[in-house]
Amino acid sequence: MIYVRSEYPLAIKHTTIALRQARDTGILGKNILGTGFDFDIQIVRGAGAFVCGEETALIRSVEGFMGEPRQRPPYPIEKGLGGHPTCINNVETLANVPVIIDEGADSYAKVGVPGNTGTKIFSLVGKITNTGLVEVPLGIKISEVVYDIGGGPSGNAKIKAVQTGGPSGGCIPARMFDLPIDYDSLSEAGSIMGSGGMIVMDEDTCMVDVAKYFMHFLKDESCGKCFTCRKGTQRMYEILDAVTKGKATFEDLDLLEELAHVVADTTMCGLGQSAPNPVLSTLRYFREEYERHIVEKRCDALVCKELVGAPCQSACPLGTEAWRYVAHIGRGEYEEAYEVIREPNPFPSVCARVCHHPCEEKCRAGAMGSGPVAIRALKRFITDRIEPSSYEPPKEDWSLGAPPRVAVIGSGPAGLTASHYLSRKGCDVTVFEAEKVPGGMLTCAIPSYRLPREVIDKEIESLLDENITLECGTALGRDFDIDALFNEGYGAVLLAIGAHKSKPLRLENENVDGVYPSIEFLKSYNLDEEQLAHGRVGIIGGGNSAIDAARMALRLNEVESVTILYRRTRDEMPAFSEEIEAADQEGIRIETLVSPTKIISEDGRLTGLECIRNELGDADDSGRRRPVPQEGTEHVIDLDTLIVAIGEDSGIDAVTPAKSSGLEITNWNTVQANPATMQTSREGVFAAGDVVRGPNTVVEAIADGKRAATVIERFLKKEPLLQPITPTLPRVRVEPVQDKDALRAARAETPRAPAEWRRRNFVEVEVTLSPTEARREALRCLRCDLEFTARGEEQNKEKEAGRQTA
Amino acid sequence: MITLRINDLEASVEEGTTILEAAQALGFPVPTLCYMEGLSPYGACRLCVVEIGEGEKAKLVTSCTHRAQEGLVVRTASSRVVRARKMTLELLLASCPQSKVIQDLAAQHEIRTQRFKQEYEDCILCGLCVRMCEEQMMAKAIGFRGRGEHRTIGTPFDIKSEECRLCGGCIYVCPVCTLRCTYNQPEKAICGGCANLAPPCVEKDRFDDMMCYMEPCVACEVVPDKQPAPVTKDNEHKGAERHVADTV
Repeated sequence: MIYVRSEYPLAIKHTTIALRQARDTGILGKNILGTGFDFDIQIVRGAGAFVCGEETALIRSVEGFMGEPRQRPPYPIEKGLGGHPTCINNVETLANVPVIIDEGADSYAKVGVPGNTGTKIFSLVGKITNTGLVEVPLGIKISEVVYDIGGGPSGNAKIKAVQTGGPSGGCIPARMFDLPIDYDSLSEAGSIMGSGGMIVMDEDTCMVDVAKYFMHFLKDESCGKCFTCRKGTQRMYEILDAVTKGKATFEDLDLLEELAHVVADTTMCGLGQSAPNPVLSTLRYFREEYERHIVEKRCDALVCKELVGAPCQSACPLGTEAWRYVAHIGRGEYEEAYEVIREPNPFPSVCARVCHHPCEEKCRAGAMGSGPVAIRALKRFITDRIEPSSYEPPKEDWSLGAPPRVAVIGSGPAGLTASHYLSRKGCDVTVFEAEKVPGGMLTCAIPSYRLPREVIDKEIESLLDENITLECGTALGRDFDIDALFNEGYGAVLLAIGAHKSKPLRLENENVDGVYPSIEFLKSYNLDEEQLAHGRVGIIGGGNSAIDAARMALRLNEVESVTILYRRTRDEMPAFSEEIEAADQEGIRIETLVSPTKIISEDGRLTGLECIRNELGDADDSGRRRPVPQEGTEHVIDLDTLIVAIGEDSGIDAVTPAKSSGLEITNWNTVQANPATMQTSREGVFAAGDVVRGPNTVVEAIADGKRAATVIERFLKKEPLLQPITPTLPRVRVEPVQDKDALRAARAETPRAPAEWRRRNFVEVEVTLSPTEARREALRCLRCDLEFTARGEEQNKEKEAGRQTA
Repeated sequence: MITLRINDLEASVEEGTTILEAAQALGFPVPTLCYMEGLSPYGACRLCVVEIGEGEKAKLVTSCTHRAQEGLVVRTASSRVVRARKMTLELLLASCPQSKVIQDLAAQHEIRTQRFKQEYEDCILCGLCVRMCEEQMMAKAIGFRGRGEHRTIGTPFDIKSEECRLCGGCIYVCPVCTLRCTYNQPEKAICGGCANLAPPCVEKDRFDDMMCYMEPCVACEVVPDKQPAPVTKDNEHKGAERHVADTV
């Protein structure tokens, strides 16, 4: 008897054909091959219940009763179908029998690993390049199935986890992909082999949502006999649902875990016993995701609708209402658009050029295939039209007596943003800057072909008001220390000195003439127009400062050629893809899978670099495959200049004064600060930006500055630093413009100056959109916000109606 | 005869005896909701779970459905059993707070409040009524249908059953104290009251002071212990709040 669910007509059809063929050839039915032996197979169509995978429920279902498991013993092998001894196996298991008979048990047992012999068929699906059914030997590593057979992630997002065993399996995180696939390892990891489902999930998958999804399925598929399974799955779903809506508490999380353990313990059949797996495994490996939902009301994968609202807004560290200004541009309302852009972001023109636009990565128009809305280009379009000085920020007077004094150390995006928002609250802010001009990395590191100086100047000027005193050329440690600031009557200090020290290669001869750390190289030209590079230039690294250094070097007078040397492949380069593309266009060579091994010099001057070729090995903690040097592939590249761009930190010289004032420093030369309160180990001293995070993006620094301003204000007012967070959902309705052609249009490409011309000067590379292009691009927006703002209006109407009736 | 150990006491029972019967014979209390002498055991409420086996292989089973086996080691009140039982009672209380049987059991297990969203259901699907109807009344008028959260008890197609003799047996056995045999016409219910014979207050010494107007039933439990919360978790059940406020 073969039991197939009626929902699988194709399986039924194929089995029917196979049985007919077997009967026709005489190997099934009466008097098989003239031996007088009768044997036949019959197909039973099940009514389709997940629980009928449980053998005693399956028997009940075959008998014509409700599919409901019963207590064992007695086992079906003693008392099964109609009270007779019954042997039940999966069709997949039985399909192995011919192979075993053909080749012998010993030969079959050679496949797989001891204790787990043979093969297993997996249904490989999800965010993976090659999907489908795969048969693999037991004991194979998960990574081999996911990367070698599955071909790695299908999109840009990194693979985060796999869920094995069907709906009641558990999720195994990417860091455990070395795990062999066998029954014991999977169960130890909190999952099961189960039906052989293998769902690959990437960073765009919310693990709470995954658990909720499976629990929704299980609460419907529980047969309902055991009270703890029926109600337990419902209650687990209820709590998970509350988490995804930001309505749960930590107590709920504890209750969820307690309940999950009891459901697994007290239910009778495999369904109930394994039903808590999705919950328990995600709680075990992805608890921080649950906590993000609960405390910060954030779903980082941007899946949980009630917390996300419009993905572009949620993806922006500043919470910029991208949908809203895009909508205004579509309506030709440029002043309104500027207001929306400027309100949450004091550096709109800067971000319009150098932001890594996480909003575009999460844009739903992008997910639909036509490419995300060019949000950054639209921001550029507006900021090019409207002067920063035209915006007048709302200002308050300090409500509690004399305005407090706040010292901000560092005038980069983090420091200036914090100063701006503190000034708006009526604080008296002094900004200390070690260099002779303000701007931090914006002026020191980012080349002017990406971010023209006058743009930064104008924006910074608009921020400096009567509440802010800027003191350039004043460095922490050299000219003052933190104790002195408190003695002078400052109420709070914000440390935002950035990460200005390039990490060394730690190779011999690194200090010879011609080898420069990237930040030193960029700074010399940006601040003093000093041209350090000449001849053949090599750059080590694959991040943004490597590309910046390369493109800047190319524009210097005495440079012949520029080559970037990176240890992995282009796909793993951390630099923004459009920067890599622009470097390519300008004729910069990018050599991948090479690592430097020796710096070659003559008379104290660099002459070349010995490199070794790499191959990609297993994935490391970052999820990227690690480069493995191949012995014997050493080769020398002749170079006149070598720029080292393998990452930055704040530098021991910069953090030492902080340390001597009682601040805790990490091993990575960054300052230790509580991520939620931004407070350092010393009360009243806060830290923001790269000095805490290590090298990061401009927009993250601005966001840090904003948060710092908020917590410093609370600190000065003696309020609790941590206050409840509410999700930011779209609130303001902007009427949509109907334009069917625009929805069909392709994404507007950001226009760039011709590569041949631009590669020899420092004129800005990117050009702004025309008004026609901008409008068409803006109208491509799918307007995810309308779902929320329309609902808001309906609610208002309901309320209004309610009031009238009353 | 089969010999097994229950809570470290040796017991000899006849073959076919369930763990529940054996434990009760030895005087160990095991709470049940879906078990009734004279009806076949079903294992739906999971309250009668006990721990069997030792070490890694120890597991919880429902004592009403599990037969005694030679050499079996049983613990009827291990911490694992108690944890499971308390959570089960909390779930029961969250679904059917108005059942005196459930309130009574909850009180016995020192559960004063439950942490889930409060519901007011009139059935825990223990199936006593279904088995009563089939096994004792030989009627088979009612049965289960649907699965998961859609599982309910009723007559086929919700029409009046020709098999039903309005005996009321189903109501008599119901631990949640509501009507089973209302067919599709709840307003023509044959019984308007509570067929429950064991209100929790009877066992209390201050019975005189605690009359049945308390709502929810375990409200009386709240006073002497100064427990702040009644059974309900949210404020949906306004009556409960008012009564408790008055008494405190």
